[in-house]
Amino acid sequence: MVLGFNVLFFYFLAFFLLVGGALAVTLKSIFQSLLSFAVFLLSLAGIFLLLQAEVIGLIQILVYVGGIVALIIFTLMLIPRVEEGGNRGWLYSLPALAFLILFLSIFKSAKLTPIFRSETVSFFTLSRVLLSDFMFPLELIGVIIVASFITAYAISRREKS
Amino acid sequence: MSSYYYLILGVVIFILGIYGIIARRTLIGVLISAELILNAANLNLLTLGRFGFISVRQSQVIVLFIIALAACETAVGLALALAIYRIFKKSDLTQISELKG
Repeated sequence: MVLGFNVLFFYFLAFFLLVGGALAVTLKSIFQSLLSFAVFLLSLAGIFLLLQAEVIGLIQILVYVGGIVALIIFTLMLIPRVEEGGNRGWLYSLPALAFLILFLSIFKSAKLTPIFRSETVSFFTLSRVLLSDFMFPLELIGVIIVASFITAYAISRREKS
Repeated sequence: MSSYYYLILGVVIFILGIYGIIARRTLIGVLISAELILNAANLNLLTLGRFGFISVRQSQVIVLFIIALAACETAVGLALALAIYRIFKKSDLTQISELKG
């Protein structure tokens, strides 16, 4: 069997994805864990490209790497001293093991179709679906964004006294 | 490529996120782990949209909503981290155990 370009690219991206994710939850220094989280996000955007979701991959890079990671870096600058504690002991990994067993039992009974539907979704079609079928959730998301930003400002504001 | 590859990848990311949420000591580390879980959900939704469970367009629109909600959650969480540091002067979650500081 000849390995296609897609498969090689998938394994390449999955390696970086798993290493970045594992380092993001285990590294002691919070800044280094943030950088490996950025590696994780970039390779996940590559996986989205493999799934032919180019728009989502682009938005993933814009919002996550450009927005959220930068926001966390700013917060790290504002907090003067972040203690660099490691993780808690091995006992705290038991819930994750429970979830692993749950998912393995789901996989044993799952029936999945092997057909890959290649349908291109452009910005235009996506925005048309967004403004016709998902009109109400879109407006709800707008309200939630405004409320959460006002909340974030009200919580982090310095009180004069 | 079969859909199992992507689904297994999503499971591993989800489990890493669960482990991080429970075992991390700093609040920002917990937030990063929550982002990992949301990203696993995004990967699963896109995979199931491509392999014929929901339509492709609907899955991508739902992923857009999840990304927007994740941005909101991070903004509020970071504001909380700032407020907690300002009140308690430390960032270790295992030592912050009292309410109404």
